[in-house]
Amino acid sequence: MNNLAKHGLASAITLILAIVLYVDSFNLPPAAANLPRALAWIIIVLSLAMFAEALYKERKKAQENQEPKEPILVFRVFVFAAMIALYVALIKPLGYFLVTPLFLITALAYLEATRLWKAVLIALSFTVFCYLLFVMFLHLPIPMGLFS
Amino acid sequence: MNDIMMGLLNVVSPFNLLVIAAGTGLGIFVGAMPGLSATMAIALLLPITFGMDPASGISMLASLYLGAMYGGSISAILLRTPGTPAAAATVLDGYPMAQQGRAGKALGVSLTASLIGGIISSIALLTIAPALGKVALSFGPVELFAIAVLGITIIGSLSSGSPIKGILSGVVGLMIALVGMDPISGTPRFTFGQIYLFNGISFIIALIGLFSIPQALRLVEKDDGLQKVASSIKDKMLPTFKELKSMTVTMLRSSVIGVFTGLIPGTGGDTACWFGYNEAKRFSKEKEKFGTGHPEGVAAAEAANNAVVGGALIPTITLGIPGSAATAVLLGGLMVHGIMPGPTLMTEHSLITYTLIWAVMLANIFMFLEGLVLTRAAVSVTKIPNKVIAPVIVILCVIGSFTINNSIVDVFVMFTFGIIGYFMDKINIPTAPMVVGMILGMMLDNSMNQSLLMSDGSWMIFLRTPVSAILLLIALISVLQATPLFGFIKNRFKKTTI
Repeated sequence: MNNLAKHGLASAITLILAIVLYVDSFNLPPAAANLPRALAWIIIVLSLAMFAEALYKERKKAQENQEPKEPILVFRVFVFAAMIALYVALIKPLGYFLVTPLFLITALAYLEATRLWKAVLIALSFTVFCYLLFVMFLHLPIPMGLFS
Repeated sequence: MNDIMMGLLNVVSPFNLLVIAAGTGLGIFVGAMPGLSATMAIALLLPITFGMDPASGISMLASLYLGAMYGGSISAILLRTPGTPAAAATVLDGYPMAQQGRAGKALGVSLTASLIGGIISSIALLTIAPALGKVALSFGPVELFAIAVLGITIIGSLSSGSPIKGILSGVVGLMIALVGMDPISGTPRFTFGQIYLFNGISFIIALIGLFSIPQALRLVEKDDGLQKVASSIKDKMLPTFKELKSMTVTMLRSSVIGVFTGLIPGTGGDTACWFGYNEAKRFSKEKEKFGTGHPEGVAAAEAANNAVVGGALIPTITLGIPGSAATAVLLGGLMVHGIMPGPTLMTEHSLITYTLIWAVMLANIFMFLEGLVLTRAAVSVTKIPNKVIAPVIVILCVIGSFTINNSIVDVFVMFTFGIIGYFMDKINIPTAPMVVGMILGMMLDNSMNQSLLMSDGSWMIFLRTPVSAILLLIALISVLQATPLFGFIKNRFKKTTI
């Protein structure tokens, strides 16, 4: 997706958000609706301005020769984000002690960050370290899941 | 005076000294790791402070902020990669010094300049904050409204990149802050029937996601490439008295620059280091030496970026307007304990505030001592691959956001904000104004409604008091300077003067 399309999408999302909130503000008493309505208008104006600015810069850029940016590994980022989503979804039912080392080992292996035995060692030691820090030392809760 | 002494007595308690030392040490290590920002580190450490007394917790976070400012120079000097954006100008002379076998000297100069910058900014904080706090106490809802408007427009328009995007991010943050029960009418606002939203969206949860998840995703975007070889430290670190004397003026000038840069919301260490460096070069009799391994260049950049810390804390403490992204997170550390930002910080919560101010002062001394000992050890953390750091950040985010309310929904919200932050980053929309908007949102709403009640609905009330009118005028100018209209007027003015 090129830069203009990205800005177009972002402008559309913020525009829709502002319109939805503006319309919803009519369900509110006047005192509660004053500021949201004003802010919704500002968001609408700024969203359009952001797109106009992107359009202007895109035209200007076309006239200049710019150095290409180093490409990013989109698929890797997507898979890593999916791993995080899965980790977040499973930590409550299965528990911190099962899901955290699994997430760390899988992520380190997928990212080829280190050798497998090192990944296992890092995962286990970091899981224990966090437990000691948050639960034993700071008395804060962590999701225990199956271990509760 | 009594409050100041109470703060001093509180900060020198063994536990507080321990947390300040720990925060500073951690900050040095985090700052030394390229790819990790001080803001992200504070956001990740925030949950650790929940179990502490508010004064201790906030002192630890502020110490980390200060430690990270110095830590950023370690990798800038040894690897030519700034550990934090605030150390970008340090590379120019620090790395050539390391290449010439004077890595220890460069780090010593950086440490000394950081100490001087930090101490001067702490003195400024200790003297300006109480005075400004007294003025702020006389402010009513009309002035508070104007302060909130100014805060959001300045941080938005001065954020790096496009001012339009900065202000948009801030206004969206304000809108998010309005989700939940309206305090005036008691009706749920923008909750769409979701019980979770009745309490509003916690800005702590949002900032953990906004500052940490995008960082983790960015770390896996590219391969680490060839491991950079850090220059070894073989020489003595501390500068001689003669060397110190020759750099004194530069360090003092940069410190003042840092304090003033910190005072302006939206600008931080990254701006101050370049400002300090450029001014040092401009005033120097040996301009040609800058960029070739000149210790004065390192001193100028480092004194400026450390001086930002105290400067940025002044509007944060007295007015409740965070001077930078890092101070916005620090403010979150107070809000976690139910302490609302604003003028009451200097009255109702004066013990916490003065403990924080003294903690910043003490953290400079700890930074200097720990820097002498830990700098060599910190070199090893610069070698940790990004791909190992990324999943570790994620785990800290997940545990951190869960511990706040013992709620898994918070973790999902944190992750959602993280993804939003990543996409914002991809199109250069700054996330800091959004967080500031979320902090100032309720203050803006309450003060606006109270003012309108006082004036029977007349908006002219905001222009009747001089303070409010001036602040709103500055806010208007800060917005207008970001528009093409301002450029057009400037060009016309230039043409007529020629």
